[in-house]
Amino acid sequence: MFFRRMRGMFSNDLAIDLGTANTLIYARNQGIVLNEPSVVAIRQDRAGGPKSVAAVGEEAKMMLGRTPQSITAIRPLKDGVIADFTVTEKMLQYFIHKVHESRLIRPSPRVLICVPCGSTQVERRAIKESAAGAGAREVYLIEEPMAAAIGAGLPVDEARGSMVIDIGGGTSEVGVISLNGIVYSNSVRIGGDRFDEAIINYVRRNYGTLIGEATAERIKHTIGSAFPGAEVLEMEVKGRNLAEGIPRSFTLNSNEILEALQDPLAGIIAAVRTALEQTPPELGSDVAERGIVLTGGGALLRDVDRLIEDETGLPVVVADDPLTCVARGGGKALEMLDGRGLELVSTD
Amino acid sequence: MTAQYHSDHPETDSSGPDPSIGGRLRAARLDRGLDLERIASQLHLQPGLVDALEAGRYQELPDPVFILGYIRNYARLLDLDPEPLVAAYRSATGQPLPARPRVQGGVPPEHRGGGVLVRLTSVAVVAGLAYLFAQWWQGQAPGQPELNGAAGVAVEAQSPGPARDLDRPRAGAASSTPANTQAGTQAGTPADTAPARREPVAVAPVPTALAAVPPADTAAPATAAAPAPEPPAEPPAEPQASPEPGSPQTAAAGPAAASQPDEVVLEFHGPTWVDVRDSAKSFSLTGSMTKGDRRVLGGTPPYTFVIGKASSVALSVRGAPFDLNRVAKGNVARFKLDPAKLP
Repeated sequence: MFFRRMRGMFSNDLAIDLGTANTLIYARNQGIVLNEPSVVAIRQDRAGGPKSVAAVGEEAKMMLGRTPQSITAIRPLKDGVIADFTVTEKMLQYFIHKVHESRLIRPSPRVLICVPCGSTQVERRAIKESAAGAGAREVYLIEEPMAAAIGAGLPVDEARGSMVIDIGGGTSEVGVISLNGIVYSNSVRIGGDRFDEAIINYVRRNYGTLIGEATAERIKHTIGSAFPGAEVLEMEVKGRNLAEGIPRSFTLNSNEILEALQDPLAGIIAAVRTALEQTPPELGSDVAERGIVLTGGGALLRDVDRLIEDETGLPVVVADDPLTCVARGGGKALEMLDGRGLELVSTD
Repeated sequence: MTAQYHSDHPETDSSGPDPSIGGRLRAARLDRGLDLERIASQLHLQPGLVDALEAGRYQELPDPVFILGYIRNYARLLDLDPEPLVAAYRSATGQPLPARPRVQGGVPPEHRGGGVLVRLTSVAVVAGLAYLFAQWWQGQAPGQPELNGAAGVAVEAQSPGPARDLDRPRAGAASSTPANTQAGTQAGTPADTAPARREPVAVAPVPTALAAVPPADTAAPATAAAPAPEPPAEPPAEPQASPEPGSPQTAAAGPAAASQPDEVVLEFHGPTWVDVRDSAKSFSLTGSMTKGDRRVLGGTPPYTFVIGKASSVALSVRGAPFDLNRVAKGNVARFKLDPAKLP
């Protein structure tokens, strides 16, 4: 304990957005210092032999779906929570090391981690313990809608309702915030991963062709769209034809992807509608007057704000740099931690 | 349209950056023949807010995150590129750009080698500190000063007689030459005829003891002839052998074990644990004792004693009882004892 405190003097406080798709780290007084995919490649040379970490982050993501037998590329988080405890711990350990330049002393920072608001006590505890196992001296948790709202620059401390939608890799969170507290929050296990899955299923159904997750993600980034736009984008894709068993190439357009994404998008819209129904009327009118703020990687899907605007009839704005909103908000909460910020975070 | 937008630019810039954003949006809107209400309904905003945005009255608008969003949405509605407008708004209001990720360069995955080195170093440092502390702790064992204080006179009046032969050079150096002491250590010890002649020395007063040394030394060569078969390596081994009452030397010395020089005997009247170690680390008596046990200490004095229950142990030095209550604190007695320094 004493040594941890000693090492803590040489460590930066960190806010970690431990996401299903990407992990971002905000270091106090430094800003975002790390943004890498939450992927770990594990090497095991023989069955029953010792396992070792082959690669983490960007490098490991390149291996996803392209590994030999001795290497497994794992995404240790599923639906915003830990699916593989040990691997998550290893990954956090690696990332915490990576953001500390001095490697003479093992870092032992105070860490604030963002958790989905729908996560259970067990899931929160798993996150806390894996951060502690990765070397954190103290672990604080903050709910993602709160962090996203702070990161987007919403006036969370005012007596005004602000609604934030955070579409992440594994979950989408809807939260209504007023006076530093969450008035209503809801989390649905729909996010970027479900979009990819929907694209894979669509292509298999309509083209009889199998594509991988990485390809599906590339399709989503390039031509994915949530609202019918004026222009139609096209993209050449290669996949394995199921009937022939041979890789074939074909062309997809943005309208097809829009059709593919209907199901998961409808899930998100339903969550937003429920949130608006459940919000107290005073706060609801604040939201209607100023609008809803969209954060998370899902906000980068083309025209997703227009879809929500169209479905709800409320103004929707996309926050600046939506991918890093949660981590930046966590960082701001971390800076407030020594003052009044304790009401924003919890330790259990 | 874009030509107009560019021609507008220098003129609006001269009147300040704020109107330029709203001015450009308003100009683009009028260019398309759209009225304010239509745009407001398409943006799902109240017409007043759109008017404030076009006029640059930002204080009537909510937080910057919303203003930036409205500007983007408005520009998209009019097919304008939102980025120059957003940048103009930022520079006008001093809004910082969102921090770009400052992602660090590659750290090899095998970064833990350094950690192991550091861990080993810190373990070594901690072990070193613990060793130094142990040294310091042994240097001031709790029982010693007390015993010295109690037996202060005895230390001054120590007699060379009861000292074991190896101790004698120190104790009796004043009256014996180096040659004599050598003869004494080599020849006198194996013979162990000393007990007989030292018996009176032990009880004799100090001056007599000092005077008795030269005769002892001169007697040594004479007695050396008798135990000649004994190997010269015997002296260090002798202390270990002495606890056995059946050893030939003690048998030769006399029937009573108590009569051996410096013999320290522990007799137990009740169960207790003890830890007795000699200074040369060649002898130790540790463990639990029960009633009726009797132990004779061997090894090289002085001894370090730790006795769990001092009241159930009777300690005697050369047959004379040693008062354990003097050194005991509560039940436990911790002390150092050098039989040679006792009267």
